[in-house]
Amino acid sequence: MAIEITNLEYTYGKNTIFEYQALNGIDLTIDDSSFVAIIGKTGSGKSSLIQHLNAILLPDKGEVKVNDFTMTNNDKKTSFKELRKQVGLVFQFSEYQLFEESVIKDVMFGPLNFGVSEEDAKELALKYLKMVNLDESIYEKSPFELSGGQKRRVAIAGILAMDPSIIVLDEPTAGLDPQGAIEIMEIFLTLKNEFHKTLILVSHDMDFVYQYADEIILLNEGKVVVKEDKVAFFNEPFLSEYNIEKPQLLIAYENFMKHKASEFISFEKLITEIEGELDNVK
Amino acid sequence: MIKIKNLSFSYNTSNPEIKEQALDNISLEIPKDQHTCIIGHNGSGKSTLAKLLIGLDFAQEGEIEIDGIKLTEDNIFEIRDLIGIVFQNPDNQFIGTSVQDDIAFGLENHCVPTEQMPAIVEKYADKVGMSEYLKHEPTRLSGGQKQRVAIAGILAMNPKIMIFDEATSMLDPVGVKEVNESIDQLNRETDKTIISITHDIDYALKTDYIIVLDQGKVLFTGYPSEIFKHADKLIDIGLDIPFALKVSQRLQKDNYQIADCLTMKELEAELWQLK
Repeated sequence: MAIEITNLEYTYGKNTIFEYQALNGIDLTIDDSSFVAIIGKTGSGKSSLIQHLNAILLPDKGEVKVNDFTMTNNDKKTSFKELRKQVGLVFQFSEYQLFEESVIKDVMFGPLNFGVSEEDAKELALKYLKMVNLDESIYEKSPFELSGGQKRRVAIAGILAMDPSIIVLDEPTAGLDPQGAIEIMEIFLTLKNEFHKTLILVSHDMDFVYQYADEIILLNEGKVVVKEDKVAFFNEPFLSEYNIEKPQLLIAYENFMKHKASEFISFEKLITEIEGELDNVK
Repeated sequence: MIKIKNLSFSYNTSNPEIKEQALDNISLEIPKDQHTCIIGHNGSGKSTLAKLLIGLDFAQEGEIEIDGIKLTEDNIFEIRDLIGIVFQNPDNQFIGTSVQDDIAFGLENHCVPTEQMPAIVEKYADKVGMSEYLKHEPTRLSGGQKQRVAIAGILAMNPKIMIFDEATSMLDPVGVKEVNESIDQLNRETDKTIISITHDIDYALKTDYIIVLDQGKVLFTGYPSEIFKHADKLIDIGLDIPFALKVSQRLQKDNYQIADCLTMKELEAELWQLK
C-alpha cells in the first residue's frame, strides 16, 4: 500500500477569524503503482490533502502513512526529508519555480540537494529531460527562454530526477495547448506502465481523468465521497449533484446508444459502436 | 476597433544565434463591441500580442491603433484607461492586502469617489462568487479564487476593452462556466470589446470572431464556423478541434454520409437522421 490515511483532519488559521476546516475526516488508501484521480470543486480539500502526502502539512488529527513513514500531529515537518524524495509533488504552474541559469542545472538541483554526486545528478537529469521529450539543444539554455510548455516539462523532469515512487500532479496540463497537454499525460502514463510509479492526478478535466486514471476519488467539503473504478464512477447517479460533467466520449456514447457504458469507451470504441449501430439499421 | 499593422516583436535572448521572433509582421483587425477569441499553441505569440496591446512591451516594428489612436510610449497611460487585462497567473497582478482592496485598486486609479467604492466592490465580488472573502488576503487564496478576484477587478474597472488571457485556467468547471457566463452577459448587454485568449476550443466556438496564431504569424481569421473548416491544419499546429467535429469527420472517413458537426447537439441530430 503506497498511502494509507485514517481520519485525517486539518484546519487553516486555527483560532483566527479565517479559521477554516479544509479536511474533515479523510479515510483513504491508494495502492502501489496505481493511477488515481482526485476530483472535487474548489475548496473541497484537494490541495490540502496532497500537501499531507509529503509533509508540507501535518495532520491536526488522524494519521497519514506514506510508504514507510507515518505522520501525525506530534511530528515535525523537518523530519521528513527522505519522504520528500519519495513523493514528488508537481504543483500547479510548476514552471514558476524554475530558477537555475540553465535547464540542466535546474533538473540537477533536486538530486544534488538529496546528496547525489554531480556526475550522477547529471546523468539523472539527462535521462529525465529525454523522457519528457525535450531536445538536447535547449539543455544549456536558460529555462526562462523556453516556451510555457517546455518550461512545464523542465519542472516535471526536475521532480522525476529525484526518482520518487509516488508522483502527485496538481493540474499538470493547465494552460498548455491541447497537443502539449496530451504529450504530458502520455508521459505520466508511461511512468505508471513502464516504471510502476504511483500517480495521483488532481484535475478538473474529466476527459483526461476518464482517459488516463484507473480510479476516481471524489472529495466534497473535506471528505471522501467515493473512491471507485472510473467506469462505475461515471455511471453514478450523483454526478450532477456534485456538478461533475461526464467525459465527452461518454456523453456521445450515451446520447447515441441510449444506455450507459459497461466498460471503458475509447474514441475507437465509440466509433465502432456508432458505426455498428448505423450498419445494423441499414 | 483595434487595428494592427505589420507588427513584429522579438524577445532579447542571451543566445545571439537564436532570434526569438514572437510576432512576425502580423496585421489584423479586432472588431469593436464583439467577442474575439485568440487561439494558438504555446509560444505562438498570443500573450505577447496581449502585452503589446496594453503597452507592457513595445513592438520593434509596426503599429497598434486603438479607436483611432496610435499607441505610443507617450500615450500609454491614456490607452490603459480604455483597456484592462486579466493574466493567466493572477499572482502577477495582486497589489492589495485584502480582496476588497485589490478589487478597489483599479477604481482608485480611475478616480472613482471613495464613498462609491464599497458598493461597486461588493457587486463584482458577488458576481464572481467571492463575497465571503472580501477581507481575506489575496495571497492565501487558491489559484482559482485568485483568478476570480482578478476578474472582479477588471469588471469593476469596467474598461471599454477587456482582455482575458487564459483567465479561467485554474477554475473548476463550474467556476469556468460562471465566469464565462458573466463575460458573455457583458458581451450581450454592453458595448464592450472582449478578447479571450484560450485553449478551450468549445468556448472559442461560442465567440463572434476567431484569430488563429501560429509561430508568430496570423494563420486564420474568421467566424468560428469558417475557422473549423481548417480542421486538419489546426490539428497540425498543435490545436484541438471540437469533439463533435472529430467524431463526424472520422465517420466521413469511413464513408458515412454525415455533415461536419461542431456541437454535440448537431452531432446527435445528424446521427439520428442517419439511423
